[in-house]
Amino acid sequence: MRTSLKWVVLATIALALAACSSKPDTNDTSRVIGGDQPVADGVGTNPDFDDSQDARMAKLLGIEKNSVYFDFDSDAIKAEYVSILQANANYLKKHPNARILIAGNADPRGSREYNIGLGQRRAVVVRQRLVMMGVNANQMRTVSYGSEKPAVSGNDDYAYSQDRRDDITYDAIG
Amino acid sequence: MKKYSLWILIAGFILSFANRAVAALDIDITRGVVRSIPIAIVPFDENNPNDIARIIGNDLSHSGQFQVMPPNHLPQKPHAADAVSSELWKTLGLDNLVIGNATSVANGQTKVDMTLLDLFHGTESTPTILTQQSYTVANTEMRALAHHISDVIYQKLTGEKGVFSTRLAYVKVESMPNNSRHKRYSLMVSDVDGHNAKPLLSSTQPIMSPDWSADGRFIAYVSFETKLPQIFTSNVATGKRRLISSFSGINGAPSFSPDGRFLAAALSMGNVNPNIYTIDLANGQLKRLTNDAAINTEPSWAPDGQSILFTSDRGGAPQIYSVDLSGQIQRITYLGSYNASANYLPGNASKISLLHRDNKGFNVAIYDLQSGTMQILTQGSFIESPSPAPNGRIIVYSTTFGGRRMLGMVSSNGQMNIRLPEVSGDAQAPAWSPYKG
Repeated sequence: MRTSLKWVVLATIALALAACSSKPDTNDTSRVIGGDQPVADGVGTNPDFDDSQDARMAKLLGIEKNSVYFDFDSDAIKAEYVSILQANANYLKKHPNARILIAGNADPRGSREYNIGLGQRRAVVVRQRLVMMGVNANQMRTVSYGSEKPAVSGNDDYAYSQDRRDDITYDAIG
Repeated sequence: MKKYSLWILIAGFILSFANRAVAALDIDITRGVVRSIPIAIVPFDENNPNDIARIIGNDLSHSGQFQVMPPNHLPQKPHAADAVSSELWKTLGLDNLVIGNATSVANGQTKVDMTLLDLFHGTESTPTILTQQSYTVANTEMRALAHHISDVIYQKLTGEKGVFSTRLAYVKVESMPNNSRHKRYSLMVSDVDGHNAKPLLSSTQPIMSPDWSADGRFIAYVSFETKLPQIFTSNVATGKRRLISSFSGINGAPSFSPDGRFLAAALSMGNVNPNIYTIDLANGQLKRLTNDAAINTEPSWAPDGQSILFTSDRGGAPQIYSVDLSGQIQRITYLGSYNASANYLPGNASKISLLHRDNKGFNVAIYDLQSGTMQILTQGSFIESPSPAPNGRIIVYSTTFGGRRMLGMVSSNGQMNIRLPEVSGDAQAPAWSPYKG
């Protein structure tokens, strides 16, 4: 109980911080610096990978898993994943209050920060495709986790092929 | 002389097992030493499993510049200079000897006497005393004192400043017991030998890219605690933190300027690709240094603060470039298809440490700006995040061994390579602190 209460409190703080500090505005360069904040020994939104919720959503969309996989050093969307994106597009257009997070990922080889750049390209390419499918851009956020959230552990070609992906999760189902 | 290189390997394994119960990171020596200073550290307090002499011996051997005689090879165990038989040590090829005492005194304190002897330049019977020190410290400060004594010895014998009292920052990743896909990410600060590891921040979401301010008081890092990346700085002593950057898209790779007034960072500002910016920490003012459709990341300041190294794939593959504060860009590396994570080697403005890929994999390398040569230091394959020590003599990095991420260190001459495995979880993204201010 105590632990879960703590998470709720921390998540609330994190969301409040996010709400007051991270309004993305590329023209406003004056709002970079926040004030000193209290000591934080445990932060973070509720743990993600809410498998049951993601699985329910995938079922609702009529797909197996809401992820798109990429070839090595590529951000090209392969034909086999277009139907997954179309299912998301259909849902988002029908539910204008639904919100998704498109998270791009890279395999773990090489520089972590460079991999953030590679993951960002993969996230943005899917957002662009969904816009082309008629989805309102305001319904989508993108993030790159680079190689910080590998799908599977391991250092072989199979693990890498699972790591190079976009995960689409629903923040609000509308 | 030669047989010490084997000793040091054996000693390393013995010590790594002996330390296993207590060490946060314990140490495997993966490569021995060919040419370095032979030294013996006689036990100060032989019955103490945490004898200060053992910590000093570990420090010196991990520097790659000393061959430390294993305790079971010591021909005698004197505590005072007049009890030292010079001949006994000289026949074993020993030039330098450290002796001393550690005695408990009142109020949980210990008195430590240390003497560094030069056997080579002394007379037959009397070795030369290079330095003699006496300390009284709280028992809880014994490790810190051991590192200080290692620094004193290192400076006397090499003429350079040691790094044994500096610290490491790194990210520790643990799987949560109920679901291996739930992780706990912690920003850790530890002694250079991995001991005294303490979390500065823990999160359910990734933490990346710690970087120390030049005075060692602050660490900048990326936290995904809101699921999106933000750059923070934390006060290392108090843990108090400050949000620095939270723009749309990538907020990555923070790097303190040498004067501590600016952070350089990689920001994508709602676009696909990150560019290099400086952020004035006093007023938040941004200055954009690169402006193109390529990944531009991992800024790292030149020692004079007038230019910044960065990684860019503007040429098709990641290579190292330099940009000055007016935005003039110069390509630095041409050798190989992947160079990233560059830092100037402290104490040598014409060399940079970097992550270099060749046909064997990703390794730590040193690139000489003058001669244009690349010296590859490691033989791993899943190496990343090289970060040089403030004397430029050792580089810490992250590697995969036995399916886990752990820290490794390689001397910048390539002769000494050690691993520091975490007891629980993975250790990654290390950053070596500057000297304490």
